[in-house]
Amino acid sequence: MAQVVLDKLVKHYDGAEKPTVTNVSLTVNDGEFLVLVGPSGCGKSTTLRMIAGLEDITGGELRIGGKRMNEVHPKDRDIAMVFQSYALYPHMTIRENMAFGLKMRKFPADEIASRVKEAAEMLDLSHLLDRKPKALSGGQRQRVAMGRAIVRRAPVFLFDEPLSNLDAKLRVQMRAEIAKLHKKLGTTIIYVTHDQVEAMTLADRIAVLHAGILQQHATPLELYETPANRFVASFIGSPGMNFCDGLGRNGSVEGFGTHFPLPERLKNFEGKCVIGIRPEHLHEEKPGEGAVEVLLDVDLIEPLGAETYLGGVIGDGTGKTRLMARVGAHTAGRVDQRISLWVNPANIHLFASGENGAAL
Amino acid sequence: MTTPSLKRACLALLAALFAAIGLPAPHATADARDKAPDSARKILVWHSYTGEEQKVFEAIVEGFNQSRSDIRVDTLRIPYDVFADKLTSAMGVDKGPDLFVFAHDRVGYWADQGRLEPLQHQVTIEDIERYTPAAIDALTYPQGSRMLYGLPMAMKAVALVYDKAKVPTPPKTLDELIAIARPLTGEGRYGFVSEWASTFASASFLHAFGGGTLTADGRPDLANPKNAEALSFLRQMLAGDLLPREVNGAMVTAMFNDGRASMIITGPWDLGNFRKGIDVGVAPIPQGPAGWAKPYLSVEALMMNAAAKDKAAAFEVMRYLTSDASARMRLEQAGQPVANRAAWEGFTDERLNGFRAQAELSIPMPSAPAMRHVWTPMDATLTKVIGQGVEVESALGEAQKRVVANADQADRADPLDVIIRGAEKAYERLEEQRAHPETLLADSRWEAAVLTYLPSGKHPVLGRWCVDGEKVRGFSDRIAAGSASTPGEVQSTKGAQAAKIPDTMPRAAKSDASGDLTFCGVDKAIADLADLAVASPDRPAVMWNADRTEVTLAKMSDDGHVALIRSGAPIEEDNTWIYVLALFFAAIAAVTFAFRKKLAPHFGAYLYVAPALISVVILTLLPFGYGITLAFKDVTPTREAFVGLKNFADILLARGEGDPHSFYYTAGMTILWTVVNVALHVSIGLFLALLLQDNNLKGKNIYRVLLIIPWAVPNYITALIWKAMFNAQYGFINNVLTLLGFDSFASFSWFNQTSTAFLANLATNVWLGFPFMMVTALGALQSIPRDLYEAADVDGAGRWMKFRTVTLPLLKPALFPAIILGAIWTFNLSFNVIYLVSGGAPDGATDILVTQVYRYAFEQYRYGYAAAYATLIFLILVTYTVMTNRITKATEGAFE
Repeated sequence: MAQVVLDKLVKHYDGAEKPTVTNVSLTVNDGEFLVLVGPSGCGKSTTLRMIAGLEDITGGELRIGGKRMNEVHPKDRDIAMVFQSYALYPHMTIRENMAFGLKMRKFPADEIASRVKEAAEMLDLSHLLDRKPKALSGGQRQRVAMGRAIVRRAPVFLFDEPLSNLDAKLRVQMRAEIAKLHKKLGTTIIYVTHDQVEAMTLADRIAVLHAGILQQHATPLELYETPANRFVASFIGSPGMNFCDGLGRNGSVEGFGTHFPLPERLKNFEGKCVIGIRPEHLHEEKPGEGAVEVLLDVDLIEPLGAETYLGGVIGDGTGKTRLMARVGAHTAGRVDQRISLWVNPANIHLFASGENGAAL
Repeated sequence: MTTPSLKRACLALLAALFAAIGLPAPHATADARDKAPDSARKILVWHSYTGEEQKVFEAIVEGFNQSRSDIRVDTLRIPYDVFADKLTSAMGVDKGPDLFVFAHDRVGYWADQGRLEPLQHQVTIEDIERYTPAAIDALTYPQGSRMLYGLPMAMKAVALVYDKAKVPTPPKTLDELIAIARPLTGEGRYGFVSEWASTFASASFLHAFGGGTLTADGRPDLANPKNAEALSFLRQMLAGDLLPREVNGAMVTAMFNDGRASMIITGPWDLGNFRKGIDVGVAPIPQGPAGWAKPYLSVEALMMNAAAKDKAAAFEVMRYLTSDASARMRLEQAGQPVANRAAWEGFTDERLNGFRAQAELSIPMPSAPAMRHVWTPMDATLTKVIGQGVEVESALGEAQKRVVANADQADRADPLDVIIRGAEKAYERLEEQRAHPETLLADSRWEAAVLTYLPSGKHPVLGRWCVDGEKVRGFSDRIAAGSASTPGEVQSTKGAQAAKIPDTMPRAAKSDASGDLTFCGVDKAIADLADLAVASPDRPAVMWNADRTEVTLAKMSDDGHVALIRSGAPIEEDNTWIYVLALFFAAIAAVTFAFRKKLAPHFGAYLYVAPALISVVILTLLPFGYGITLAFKDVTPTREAFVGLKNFADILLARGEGDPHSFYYTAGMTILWTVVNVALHVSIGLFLALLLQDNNLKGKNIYRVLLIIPWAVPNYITALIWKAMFNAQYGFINNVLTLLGFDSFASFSWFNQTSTAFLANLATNVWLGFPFMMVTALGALQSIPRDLYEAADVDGAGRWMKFRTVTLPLLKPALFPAIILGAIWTFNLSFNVIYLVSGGAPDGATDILVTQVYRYAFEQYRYGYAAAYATLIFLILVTYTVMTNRITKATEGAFE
């Protein structure tokens, strides 16, 4: 079975001041689709490359299928990998590219042929097998890269930002194909991306990395609804969550130019905190009893067709706190006008104050 | 797109460019000479003196300028190594100096071409007696004649230089030399060291045994028993370890200075190079069975360009610069071993006197043209016989054959011969029809008059020289206005010959003038020509007019009179290239005109390309075309004739008698050389690139710089260093091999066998060649994405498989052009390595095509033959390039 366990993995490059990856512990269950997500430089690719064996592991332990893999050569780790650049061998045909891994492992020729044929059919590449990579489009190359992994029938697939070189439309299409493939093959997949949409749509579970530290490891919905800290909260969701310093007092918290009642479990919270409101939780219509009004001085309107983003500053007189709201297509908001927005207090997030405060 | 103003700007730029390329820098050389008052007669002297010699020489010239207001002398220093070539080409176009200082050994070559002014009519007997006879002998040509072509400045001959601390009394005989040398020899030290493989240094031994290189009349004479004895003697010395196995001129002096040699053979030029503290003695080289071991004497002489404008003034300058007073200054202040006897009176420097004594005991280096064909084959023979123990008679016989063949090649089928043959016919008819000269005058082929001059004046004069004023113009151009009026008293150092010579000929001719005969001021030139005819009775003497359109022959008949025959037949100048050039530009103009409508919209673009196109045509295409046309001609410095495919036939049918190896052998050697070299360059370069590629390697940049150094050092320096490292006795390689226990390398001569000489060349060229491949491979390696290796890692490829399936295929696009280029470079541009390391040794066996071409062109002066050879090389390379381009699609990159 191919359960992948990362046990306090550390990567510290020679001469670097701080470790690139610090004590990342994760368990990826057999057949699970895990997405490693985070901004550039957060250590997600390094983590993946440590799993693949392309980077030495400085500390901690990596287990695949229960076996320690720290010192095992990539080729013996039972993994297949799809690279961001696809890394197709430019001088080989598609067929040779797909067969290469099997050939290196000394598979019999007919076995190789049948596996390549099968994978090519699965990926709709059959008619391209005798071409060279440079004769293929980006999406086709992407499929070849996946085909190369598929023929291996490895229990673990590693994807390193596989869609980042494609245009937006193709990305959506390939995303769906990857999802389909996962269903079909049922292999364990560890998938690195910086694109939260990919992460949300593909993942069984998502691990969010920031500055080499694992921030949260949960299902997409959990991440969205209960972000573990301010970083996760801001990273997941688009446009990002609005933040405002808050002050808890007497069962309510003050911020965004108004007061929000504190939830039951935090009834007695007093002191500074940070209040977060997702743009989609600001409504033009009062959603119901108990909703809190936030005043917005609109200075930006971005109509996207299905919805509209309203930007501006909170109407609390200070003009300091910016806010972004995601409202219906036909907004009443006008630039340089004040508008009332309504928030259900259940939808506010509270974080400890500070740079990256944990959720309260 | 092209605005009129832009067009105008481009045209202006183009015009400026043309001006830069095409027009000579105005008055670049004239400035220096314009200092003197305009009225002064100007004389330009070229020399190649340096250091003290230059200072003193220029001071003497300044002294002349101070003392004379009517003549102004300017000097120009030309570096020695380019002097002869510059002079030859400058004189060829009637430019260049009025006077120049050069060694006498080119006198024959220049005199044969009529480029030197004969001086025997200007000099007096007192002039002649001022100098050491050997020096005057050296300046007559043909040797032993009374044609004098210069006044001697200095005499330079090698002598026996010895360390007085070790050799109290210098040896008088060769036996004594061996007796003294033997106890001083051993453990890397030698009693006696001489550059035995050099004909110049070993000539004294040939003479000691009665041998030599040329006969008195300038024909090769190598295969004689005397030379065989001399070579056997040297061979015995080497066999008895009394001579080092490999030695060159610089080493001889170095060995003397560091005490490894007690006696050496070297010349006065080394006087400044001896280490202070050594008590140096100079003595004549000892006597052999046939007398003194006379070295070749090189006489530095002041010579007059035949095209000098003011010959009277030039001669005055010559007299001044070679006077006893001038000589004394040069001797005392510059240590120059001067040729004036009086200058040495009371001069006490022991060493200079030693060299002077040797100069008195010397043989002038033959100045006959055949001599230049002697050096290479004779050097090879010395190496073969002395160094490799080849049988001496057959080696000398082979050398003789080669020298004769090469000399024949250089002198055969002269277009001049055609004229001479024609003139000889006319001469025969002249003999027959003495009574009816008018029939000759009517002959259309010999339109000019024919004249015989009889010394006794008894015979009637046939014909007239001066038919009308115009006919003479050519000759009067040759003669400066002042010098033609009265030729000086004709003097000769050779009493016996003087008797035979019609020494009053010019005047007799004048006095004999019966109304019809007039010399019209050409008397001196004719006198010179008659002298020449008497000097070499077996061939006609030849004189050209200034335009080289007319030739005059003087021939001495059996009954002792001299016939002068003048041919009006113009020599066809080869101006084909002008027509080719004209045709080329006409073609361009025609094409431009024909396509003017299509070209017009892109006028600007063509304008931009034009400068590059024009420079490519002028700098590449025209010389290339000229080279190709040369290949179909027989061209030497003295002649040029169309011979069709003869050169190619000679090369391809291996007809060259003077060549030790055929074209096919040399081509095979070249291909072997190229293949082995490129294979090693690529494999070593790639290997090092892979090492440097390793990210874990510390100090990568330092290694990289170190490994590129062989490339950065000028390759001739590298070649010379490697040559020294392969020296038999003192070379680093042999020393290391001996230290490692390979005792057979103790004094192993790498250049005695083809295989080891090849290895030595190879080591040098591999050293020079791998950095390029390394840099290319390094660049190509860095352009291979790391992803591919990671993908291969994941795919399960090991180190070797990654190299084979990823690295190599992806290097191919970058490496292949580099290999093609490398092969062409090795094939065509490793000249320095071959020429400097093995020098083709043994005897041309390691020569490649380009070094062989060089030998034909610049050692044997067979330009046409060399051009044909070069054309064949070009064809081989074209074939190679076309083939490689077809076989692979190297230009097709693997990456998008």
